Formats: sequence, structure tokens, C-alpha cells
Amino acid sequence: MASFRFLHAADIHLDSPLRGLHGQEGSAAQRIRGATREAFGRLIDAALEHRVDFLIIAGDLYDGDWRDYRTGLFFAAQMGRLQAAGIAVFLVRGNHDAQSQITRSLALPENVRVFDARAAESLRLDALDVVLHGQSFKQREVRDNLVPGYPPAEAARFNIGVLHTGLGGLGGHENYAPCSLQDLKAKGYDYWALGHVHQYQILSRHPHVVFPGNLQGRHIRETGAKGAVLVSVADGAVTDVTLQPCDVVRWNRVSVSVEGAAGRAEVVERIRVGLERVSRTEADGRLLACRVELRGRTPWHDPLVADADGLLAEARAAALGLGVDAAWIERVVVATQAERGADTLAARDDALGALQQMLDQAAADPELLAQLAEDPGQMLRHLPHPVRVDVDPDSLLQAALDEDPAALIAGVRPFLASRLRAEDD
Amino acid sequence: MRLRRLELLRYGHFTDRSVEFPAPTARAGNGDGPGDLHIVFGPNEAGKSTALMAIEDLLFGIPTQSSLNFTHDYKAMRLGAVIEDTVIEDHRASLAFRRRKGLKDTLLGPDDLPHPQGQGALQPFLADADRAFYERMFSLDHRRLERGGREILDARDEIGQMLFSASAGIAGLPQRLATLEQEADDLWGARRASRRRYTQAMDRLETTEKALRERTLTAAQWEESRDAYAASKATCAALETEFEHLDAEVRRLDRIRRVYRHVQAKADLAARLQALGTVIPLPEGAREALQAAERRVFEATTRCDTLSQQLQRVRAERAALVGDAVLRQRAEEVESLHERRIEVRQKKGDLPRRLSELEAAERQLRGLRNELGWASANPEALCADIPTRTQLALVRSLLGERGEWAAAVTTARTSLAEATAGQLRLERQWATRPALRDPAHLAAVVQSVRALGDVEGQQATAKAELKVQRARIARLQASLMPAVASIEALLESPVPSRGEVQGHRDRVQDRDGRERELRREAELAQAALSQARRELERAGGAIDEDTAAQLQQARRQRDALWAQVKRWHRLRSVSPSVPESAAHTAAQPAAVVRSGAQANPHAEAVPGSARDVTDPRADRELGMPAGFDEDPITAFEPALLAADRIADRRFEQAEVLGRLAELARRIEDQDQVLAQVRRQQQQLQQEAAAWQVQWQALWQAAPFEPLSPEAMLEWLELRGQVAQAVQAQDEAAARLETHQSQVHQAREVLLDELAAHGIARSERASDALVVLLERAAAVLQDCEAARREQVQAEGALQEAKDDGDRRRRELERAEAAWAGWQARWRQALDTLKLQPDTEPEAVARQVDTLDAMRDLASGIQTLRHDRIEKIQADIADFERVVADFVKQVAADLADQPAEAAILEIERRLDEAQRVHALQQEREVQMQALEVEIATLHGSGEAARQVIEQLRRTARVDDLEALRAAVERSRQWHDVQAQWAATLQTLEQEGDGLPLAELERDCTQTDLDQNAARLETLDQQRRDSRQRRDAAVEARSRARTAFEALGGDEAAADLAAARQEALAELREVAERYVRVRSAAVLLRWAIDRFRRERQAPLLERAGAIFATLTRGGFTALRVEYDDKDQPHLHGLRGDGGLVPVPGLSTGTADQLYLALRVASIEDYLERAPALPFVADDLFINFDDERSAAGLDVLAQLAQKTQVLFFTHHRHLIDIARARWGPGVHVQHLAD
Repeated sequence: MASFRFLHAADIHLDSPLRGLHGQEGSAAQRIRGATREAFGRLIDAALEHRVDFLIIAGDLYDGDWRDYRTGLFFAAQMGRLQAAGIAVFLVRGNHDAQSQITRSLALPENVRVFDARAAESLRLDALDVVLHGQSFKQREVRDNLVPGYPPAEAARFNIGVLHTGLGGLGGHENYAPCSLQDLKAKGYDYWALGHVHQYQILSRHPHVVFPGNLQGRHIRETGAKGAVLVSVADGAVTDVTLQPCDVVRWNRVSVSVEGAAGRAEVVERIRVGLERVSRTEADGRLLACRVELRGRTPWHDPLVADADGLLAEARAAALGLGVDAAWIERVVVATQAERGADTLAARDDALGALQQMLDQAAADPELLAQLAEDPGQMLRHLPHPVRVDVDPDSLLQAALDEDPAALIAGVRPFLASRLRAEDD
Repeated sequence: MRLRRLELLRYGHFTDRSVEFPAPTARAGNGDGPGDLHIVFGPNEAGKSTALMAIEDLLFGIPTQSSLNFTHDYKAMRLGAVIEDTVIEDHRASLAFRRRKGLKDTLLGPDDLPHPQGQGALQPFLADADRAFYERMFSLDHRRLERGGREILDARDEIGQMLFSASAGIAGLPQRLATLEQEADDLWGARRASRRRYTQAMDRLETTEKALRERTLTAAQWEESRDAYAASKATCAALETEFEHLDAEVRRLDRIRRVYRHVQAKADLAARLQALGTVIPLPEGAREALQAAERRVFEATTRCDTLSQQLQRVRAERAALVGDAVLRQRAEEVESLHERRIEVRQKKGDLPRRLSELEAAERQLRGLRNELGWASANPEALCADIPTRTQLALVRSLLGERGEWAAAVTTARTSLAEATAGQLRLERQWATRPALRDPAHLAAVVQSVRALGDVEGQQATAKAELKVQRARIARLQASLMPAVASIEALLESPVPSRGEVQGHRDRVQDRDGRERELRREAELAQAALSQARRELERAGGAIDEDTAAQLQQARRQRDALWAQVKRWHRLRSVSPSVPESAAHTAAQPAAVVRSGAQANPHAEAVPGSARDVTDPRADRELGMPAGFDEDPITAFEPALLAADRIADRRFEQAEVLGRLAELARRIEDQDQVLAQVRRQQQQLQQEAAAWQVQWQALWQAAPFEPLSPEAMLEWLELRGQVAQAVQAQDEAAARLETHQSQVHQAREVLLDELAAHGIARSERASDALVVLLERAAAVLQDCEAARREQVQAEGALQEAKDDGDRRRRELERAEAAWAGWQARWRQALDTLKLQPDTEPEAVARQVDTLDAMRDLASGIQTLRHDRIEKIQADIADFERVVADFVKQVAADLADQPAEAAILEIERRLDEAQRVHALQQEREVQMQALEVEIATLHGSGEAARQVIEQLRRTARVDDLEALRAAVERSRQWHDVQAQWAATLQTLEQEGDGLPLAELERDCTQTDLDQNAARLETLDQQRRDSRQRRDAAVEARSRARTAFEALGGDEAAADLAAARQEALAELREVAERYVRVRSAAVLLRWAIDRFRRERQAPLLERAGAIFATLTRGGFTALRVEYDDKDQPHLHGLRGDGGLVPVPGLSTGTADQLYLALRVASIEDYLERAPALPFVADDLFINFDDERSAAGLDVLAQLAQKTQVLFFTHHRHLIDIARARWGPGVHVQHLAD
């Protein structure tokens, strides 16, 4: 059998915007806005650079509710680049593509071959002795196991299964086209090119069962390097599987200890040092989108909590100081602890201690609950739906939206106490 | 907690400063006294602020960026204190410690080493207070007091805020609350406002969503655009074809119109050529050439005549010009003499002035000569007599040194006298010094006793340790269980080792564990058994009891009936029939058997079958009674169904049956397990009995019955502790004995040594060792001081002697130098020819005169030789040169003065040069005329040759014939040129068509019809072009529109911008929830705090307020208005109410102080006390109010320590007037 190389990508979500970022300007803003498109361009560049024999896209090329046809035209243009280089493309449609209006009428170059949605089919590359088996999603919610319908492995060929699957609800993703690892292994293929799970993982090596993850992280839950998998095959056996990073903006959580910091300036400096470290070790020349998490016990807890907004501004300024387009801070989470905890404060029998004790019982006071329902309740009722459905589950806003007064009060307490205890001007 | 002493060891500008705060006496604390109030007085610059800061730094650590390192650097900074807790059962817990600046181990012991407990040592005293809390709650200064008063006035009717703010000690609570609400309002409000961030983000969201909708390209839009582009291309192509066709026809007709005239002209030219006949073609332009040649010949002849006449006239003028050539050749010499003449004239003018200067200088020199009394009259001789500069400089130098040498001698003599007197004084003092005693032995004794250390302290410690260990032994013995009569018996009785007991305990525990496990296993097995039995019971009840035998029997009956049916079928004579009852009962084989016992009337009538059917054995096997003779066909079908039903049911119940079998196996297994477990339990019980015997054997020698292994392990542990305590007790006793011996010996040695130094033993016999040691050390210090003084005196005496010798040598050097000077002086005077006894002042004046004479003599020489004589020589030389020159060039001027002669020669030279210029000008004119005449001759000749050449070419004889030939040639050339032009035009206008075709088109065309047709077609073509251009434009638009749809990322950008707006909205919403909820919670808590704490706080604050206002107000009251809103009022002595906003600023300050003190008192009811620090609270109070303020602080001082810092001395007087000298005052400046 011939030796060859191919790229395996999935979950490209072309032109899907990054979420949770705002406030950036200039070239950083442009990089963030065009990240998924530029990442896809990098994928095509990688295919040309490594002179791969073919490219597999295992579903979710577009977002399901994305309607702009230009995205499809861009995709077609990129496929044209591959066609000029003689590189074939094999594509299954996933849950997002199935309902995409773009895919229905877009004419693609001849090198792109899309697997049928009615039944699994086999597409062959005779020159390489390769056969690819795959089936596209007919509609968004495919709840059947598609693997049994895949053709049996063909002898004397390198068999690749292309499938968009939740594989039993892996990683919290919707369990579409459910199947088990055993189902896949039992099929007798040499390589399973999967899609749908956004985290790169090799589930098995004999045969290879691989999720390449998505091409570009789109929010803080999709951290680390993102890209496609470069697979080398020699004499019918996989010899190498390497992740080729294609991401433009890389998400990262930066944990910064502020224990022993001499003041707010040093806290900001530690943030800068943390960002610099991560930028040096993790960014690989990309723009970092970071969530900074401050931790540790510190006497500066109160000022930090009381003026988290000012801290965010200073941290962003520090990030800008690292260089053009080095890093952008999504949020600063102040998870520090005061030198004396709330228990100690509540145990004191002064007015502030009394305040803490009263707050312990606040969630049961109907008068207070009515006040909170009035305001900020009124604002919450005005909040647009897209904001309401995409809120950090641990956030104060989520507690307020859930109308959970105990959680709301618990979340506000540290802030209030800090504002009261913070140094007077 | 209270502060007993504050030590400002190295802090700010303080060094080793200690401030004491003694505990109050009983009288002070009796309620009327000042209690634990301390006034710390520090005038400006005394360090009051530093001391205030020191208290917080002491308790909570020195901040990293402390500014108090201006005297002592950070490493050296130290604070110290002794703090004490409240008195409990006559025992006041105290702690002495120090504080250094640093990050860890900043709490030190009095020895400056890190405190073993670290900051934890302070915690029992601080009661969980931190710096912020302490500062907020227990610290008040004038600024905060004023701000509190101002906030009370600002808060107006917000009693809750007033109380909460004063209780918590929070400054600026209203501002903080207002800030929170303002922050919330800046984020979101019920009414949309562009200044709010929520509105801004929402606007951005709406804008981006709208733009996104507009910029999103759907598939249908794209297809529509593509189709439109394709249609426009097709339309455009059709119109272009039509236009091209029309255009071709128009161009053809237009071509005919254009070339028609030229085709006709070509024919005309051909006719003209023919008419000219034979012509000798001359070169083109031959006519113009001939005319020009004739004209040139004529012009050359005329001009030559004129120029020859001019040449003759100029030659005559040149010959008439004559000049002085000799003088013109020597023009440079004349110029040189001209310059010398001007120079000599100036020098002649200077000469009289120089002569008068020479005379004046000689007169001045003679005057100076007379001053010196010299006789020489001749100036030359005078100059020779003046001494040299070197000689005069030597005299001046000696004059300058004279004072220095004379003064040195005088100074040296004075110094020597003083040194001699000092030496004599020291020698007298030395002679009267007392004898010294050697302190070496005393020093050795003191050092050896010090080396013992705090031996008395160690003795006390050993004694205390002995006591502690005894008490510990007693306590441990009392807690032993089983008890032992005596310590000796306890320690001497043999007991098993700890390892043995632990081993036994582990085994017992292991056994107990195993027993528990077995019990658990048994319970589990029993439960599983019961469960299996219950399941078996349930499963067994769920099935019918269809056994295999029943199935077999049903099948036999079926087969038997089938055999009968077959037999009946073969016979065909009798229709098989079975009584209805048999068919009916076939479903119940057992019943069939029983009902079949009825007689079958047809059984005997079936030949050949009776044996099979009536065979009693077979009937029995079939379950049928003998004589069964029913219709087998009727009976067969029920029998068949019955057999199948039983089989089906058994098949269906097979799983249940399998499960029953499985349950049975499980029951059997559990039974076995249970039995196994019970056997193991029995084994364990046997093991337990054996180990109990071993246990008793282990403790056989002990004087008691052993308890459980755990208890005995504890017993062994206690026994070990008793052994350790006994050992520690013995060691303490030994140490005590050693220390007692050391103390005794040290005392004896010290007393002996003191006696040797004149202190009687009886005086010091009762002193403690440390006192004796300090006394001996003091004596030793005295001895050493005396010794140091003696050494110093010896050194001073020797130094005085050395000083006397040194000064004597200096005097000798000074006198020798003076003698040398005098010798050199005399020699110098001799050189100047002065008397040796001439006074130095007179010598100095004469030296100055001599210097002046030298300068004058030098000036006279220069004037005479370098100026006057040189001028005279120059004049003579000039006159000689002029005379020679005149003789050569103008002898007629020989009798003229030199200057006049030169002037005349200059004039003659100018004339000669003017004539020479005119001669040159005429010669140039002559040359030019000659050249021009020659040129004209040449030109005429050339023209004649041209005419001759043309005549020969035309082959004619004379000029007239030549002119006619030239004209014919010109006409021929003209026709040829038109012919070529016509052909060229036809070629250009004929659109590349051959000439013949053009001529054919023109021949076949009527020009008028062609014009009409052309006009029509041109109109059609213009229409077509317009339609085509419009189509091209439409196609261009369609293409632009279609290409513009291509893959740009505008929509993606907008989607990203929309996400940014959503993220910002999310952030704003979260921030709003936080800030708004915080404000709501704070308002709610303040209101609740007011309701809960209002009554007691206002009652106590009212009483304090009454004190502070000296009865101006008697209490505080809350009054409600019509809307049930509470308002705070001050109650006047006459019963009148003053609302808080109506209070004066000072009274508001007092109200704030009252609320603060009431809150602190309230807090102290429930929490440990901490010192209250008040910093100059009464700056704006008059004496009466200050006294009232001190009263309030004294009331607070009944409950906790109050440190009142002030820089107003009169407050001390007020306090002393109030409480007498009992009030404790510390002065920082002391």
C-alpha cells in the first residue's frame, strides 16, 4: 500500500464569532473578529505546506443558524486553492451543517466530495488504496447509531470512517449519532475521523479513533491550542498523528497568586508577569484571550473586590504593555480571600458584624426580596434573550436570573463588605 | 487589653523612649475618678503623631512602606511594649514584646529574638481585631470627629445611617451609599438615557443586529444576483451583434461618400499629365533656385563698391593718430612713483611731532636723574648708569622676605615660652597624684561570677521546676487507673512492655474486626438467603405446575387419538365421532380421562381397532379408562391443542424455571456460606478465650487486675510520664543544689574582694549576689577609670616635653634664616651703590625711580632711531629716484621739484594711453571691412555657378530659355505630387480596400441615394448603440453587484461586533446586579439596624450628649412625622425639641462623639476591651466643653483604657483641676 498524509479537521464553525470579549480595539479587535475565518485559511495553508493527499472535515463546517452566503463563497474559494494543488476534500455534514441554508445551494469545486445523508457510502482514492466511509446528518437531531449502517472494511485498502458523533455524550456535548468506542473498533477500519467534540483527543490507537477538536476556540471554556490533526500513513499503518495548531486567538485561564503582594501595584505587576509567562509559553505567537483568576489570602482582598472594574482596566493596560496583539483579558476573577474571613467579621459584635449577621437572614425577609425583585429585577426583565441564555453559571448574574436570593446575597456580600471596609479617601 | 508601657526604641526620631501607662488606682477607678484615662502631652514636633502611629504598628505590624525610617533604617526599627489583660482573680496576664519591621517573625521577645508563638502570642489580647477594625472602632481624631458631625447634619433625617455610621466608625457612609447608587444609575435605569452604559451597549447591539440583517447574504439573494448577471450578459451579446452589423453598412456607405471625389480627381490628373507632353524634369525648387541665384549676383556687386569706399576712409584716420610710446612703456614705474609720492608727503607731515616728543622725554629723564643726585648730563651716559632689571628684582625680593623672617623669629620665641610654662604645670600635677591599686584580680572575680550567668534566677527556676515536677508526679499518680499505692511500687513492679501490650491490643482488635466482619457476613448471607427464599416463593407461585410428566401424558393421549383417527380413516365405513363431552374435556387431559369412563357405544363396531383402543394397558397409558370408544376425530383436536398448550406454557415458563433453579442454587450457596461463617465465629471465640488467658499471664506480676489493652496502654503511657517526671524532679533537685553552692561561693569571693577595696563585709553581707556583683563591677569600673586617667596624664606630660623641644628647634631655624637674609641685603645694596644702612623704605623708593628711568631711556632710543631718522632717509631717497627718472623720460622737467615733476609725468602718461586706444580701434575696423568684401566676391561667384548648372541640365542656351524650361518642369512636378496625394488619400480613406474595388463601388453608386441611405442607417446605428451601451452598463452593474457578493467578511465582523455588544451587556448587567443589590442590601440592613439598636444606643448617647453639652440638652428623642418617618431631636432642658438639622456645627460634633462613645460602650458590653486612642478631639472646644469631653472620656475609661493625645497644655490643667494630681499625664518631650 502507498504511503500518504492527510489532514483531519472538524467543527470549524466558519465565521462564527468569539464570545465573551469586548472593549478591544485596533488590530486585536480585527484578529478576534476574523478568527475562525483566518484559522480556516491557516488550515488550508497547512494542507498546502505539508502537501497532504487529502483533507477530511468531519462535520459542523458552519454554524446552523448562520445564513450569510459569503461564508460559503469563502469556503468554496479556499477549496479552489486545494483543487489547484490537487488535494481532495471529504466532507460529512454534522448537526450544524444539516440545517445550514448555505450548504443546500452552494456549488463546490470538483475536489470536494460530500458524503450522502440518506445512507453511509464509500468514496475511494484508488491511487492511494484508500477508501473513506461516511454519512452526513440528514437533520440536526440524529439520535440513531449510524455506525451499524457503515459498510464493512475493504480488504487491501486503508479504511477511514468519517463520522460526526457525540460518542455517548462525551465532554458534555449533545449526544447526536450516539455510538460506543467498541462499535467503532468492531468495524475493522484503520482510522476513525470523528467530529462534534471540541476537545482534541485520541480515544484509541488500534485502530486510531480521533477527535481533532475545533479549529478555533470560541469562548473561555475552549482553552488551549486548537487545530487539525496531521496523519501520516505508511504501508497501511498510521505512523504519526500530530495536532497542527491553526487557531488565531488562544484562550487561556491565568491563575495568579497575590499572596504576599505589597500593594495593588504589585498585584497588577503579578498579573502582567503571569500574562507574560503564559504569552511566552502558551501563545506561540497568537493573541491570547485570558481569564485572569486571582487567588490567595491577602490584605488587599477588600480593595480588589471593591474595585474589580478598576482592576480590570489596569490589568488590560498591563496586557497591552506586553506588545501589540499579545494578550487581551476577558475577565478578572477576584477569588482571593481576606486575611480574616467573613466568619471572623460576623463574630465581631460591632455594627459591621451585626450587618453580616443580618445578611445571614436576609434571604428570608420578604420585604427585602420585594425590593430586590423591583430592582435589579426590573433590569433583569429587560435583558435581551441572547444575554440571558449565555451567562456564566457561577456568576452573580445567573443567581439573579435564577431568582435565587440566597445565592444573590451570598454573591453580593463580599463586595458590600469590601466597599464598607475599604480605605476611605 | 491595656497598654502598660509603650517603648519607642528605634522608631521615627525616637530612640529608647519609654512611655508608661500605669494601671489605675482603686480611687481613680471608683466611678468619679479618671479611671484608666491617660493624657499624653506632646507639643508640636514632640512626636505625638509618631507615638499614635506606633501604637497601631506595635499591635499589627509596621507597614512595608513606613515613612518613619528617617532616623533608624528599616532593619533597625523597633517598638516594644508591655500589655496586660484585665484583672482576673488577682492575676493580670501580661506580655512583654517587641516589634520589628519585616514580613515574618516580626513579633519578638524582650531579648529581641523571635517570639516562639509568633503573632499568635498577641491574639488572646487583641481578640481577633485587625488594624482596620481597631482604627475604625477604637481610634478617633479631630478630623474624623468633625467629619462625623458634618455627616450628621448632612444625613438630616436618616437616623439609620447616622446610627450605623457612628456605631461602625465608618467615615463617609452616606457618600459610600450614594456612590453605590450613582454607579448603579450610571449603568442602568428604568428610563433609557444615552449616558448609561447599558443603553450604549444596547444601542450597539441593536445597530449591529440591524446591520447584520442588512448585510447578511442569503442563498436566494446570491442566486438571484447570479441569474441577473447571466441575463444581462445574454442581452448585451445580442445587442452587440446587431450594432456591429449596422456599423459595418454605415461604414461602407460612408467610405463611398469619402472616396468618391478622390476617384474622380485621379482621372483628371491623368488627363493633365498627358497634356504636358515631353518634359525634362529639373529638380524640385529649380525655379526658386534660379531666382535666388540671380538676386545674389546683383546684391554682391552693389555691396562690394560701398565697402571699398569705407575702407579707404578708415585707413586715413589711422595714419593721422601719433602718441608718446616711450612713456607708455614705463607706465608701471610712473605708478610706483605715484604711490611713493603720497607716502613721502604723509611722513613729512609727521616729522615735527616726533621731534617734539623726543625733546619732552629727554627733559623728564633729566628730572629723574636730579632726584637720584646723579651727575651725568648726557642722556646716553645716563642710560648706561641705570642698574639691570635682575639687580632691581633681587632687591625687591629681599624687601618682601624681610617681614616674614623677622616675624618667624618672634613667633618661635613666643611658642617656646608657652610650651615651657605648660610642661612645668603638668610636672607639678604629676608630682601630686595618689598611688593606684591594681584591679586585675577584681576584674577576674567579676568576670568569673558573670560567667555563671543568672545563677540566682537559675536557682529559682530549679526550685520552681522541682515544685512543678512534684505536683506533676502527684497529678499523674492520681490519674493512674488501676491505681498503685506508691511511686516506688509503680516504678519497681515488673510490667509487660509496651510492644507486648500493643501486640495484644492489635490482635484483640484484629479479632474484634474479624468478628465484626463475620457478623456482617452472616447478616448479609442471612439477608441474601431470606431474599432468595422470598424470590423463590414469588417465582414459584407465578407458574402453573405443568410438569414434564403432564406434557408427556398429553402427548401420548394425542398420539393415541391420532392412531385411532388414522384407523378410522382407513376403514371409511364409519364416520369417526367422539362424544361432545370427550371433545369438551380434551383441553383437560386429566378430566378427559375421568369423563372417558362413560361407555362408548361405537367402540365395539370398529373392527380391527378395538384391540388398540380397548387395550386396557394402552388406555391406562393414555390416561383413558378402559372401553374408551368415542369418536377419535372429534377428540383428537382438543387433545392436540392441550398438548401444544402445555408445551407452549412450559416453553414460556422456561426462563422462570431457570430462575427458580438459579434461586435454589443461590439458597444452597448461602446456606453453605452461613455455615462457614458460623464455624469461623466459633473459632474466633476460642481464640478470644486463649488470648484472655495470655493477657492475664502478662500482668501476673502486677499488683492489680489488668483492664482492657487500650486502658493498659494508657496506663503504661502514664507510667512512662511518671518515670519522666521523677527523673526531671531528680534533675531539678540536683540543679538546685548546684546553683545554691555556686551562689554561696560567688558571694564569698565577691565580699572578700570588696573588702580588699575598702568596703567592709558587714556593709554588704545581706545583699543578694546580683547586687554584690553590680557593686564589685562598679568598684572595678572606678579602678579602671582611675587607671585610664593616669595613663592619659603620663601621655600629656610626655607630649608637653616633646612640644618644648620641637619649638626650640623651630626658633633656631628661624634665627638662622634671618641672619642669611641680612647678608644678602647688604650685598644687594652694594650692587645698587647704596649705603648698607639705608632704610629699606628708602631703598624701595629708589628702586621704583630707577625702573622709571629705564623705561624713559628705552623710549628715547626708539623715537630717535626708529622713527625720526628713518623718515628723513625715506624723503631723500624719493627725491633722488625722481630726479633720475625725469632725466630719462622728461628732461624738460629737470628743474621742477620732485613731487611736481611726478604729477606732470602722470598727466602725460594718461594722454599717451588714450591715443594708443584710438589706433587699435581703427585697425580692427579695417580688418573687418576687408573680410566682408572678400566674402561678397565669393557669394556672387557661387550664384553664377548655380545658374550655369541649371542651364546645362535644361539643355538650353540662354537665360530666357532656361526660365521657360524651369516653369514646365515645375508644372510636371505639381501634377505628380497631386497624383501621389490622391492615391494616398484613397488608401487612407478606403478602409484598406483595393483601388479597383473602390472605383467599382463608386461606379455602381448614386451619390445622392447613398447619402439618404447613410443618414437612415446612421440613425439606426445610434439607436442600436444606445441600446447596446445601456445593456453593457446593466451587465457591468450586474457583474459588480454579483462580484461584490463574494466572500467578504462584513457579516462575520458584524456578528462578532454583536457578540461584543452582548458581552458588554452581560458585564454591565452583572455589574449592575452587584452594585444595585449591594445598595439595596445596605439600605435594608441600615434600617434594620436602626430598628434593633436604636433604643439603647440613643438612650446612652443621650446621656453622654447631656454631659457634653453641660445640660444644654438632656436627652435624644425620636419623633415621627405625618408620614411615619422617624426624626432625631435633641431634648432641651426646658422640654423643647431641636431637630438634628437645627444643631450648630459644634453641637453636631458633640452628638457624633456621644454616639461613638455609646457604641463603643455597647460593644465593650459583649467584647474584650482594647485601648481607645483619642487624638486632640477638643481643638475647637472651649474650656468648659473640653472639661465635659474629658468627663466623657473618663466615663469610657471606666470600661477600657483611654489614651488621650494632645498638644494643648491647658487640657492638662483642666484634667488636674477636675481630678487632682491622680490623673496620669505623660510628656512626650521629656
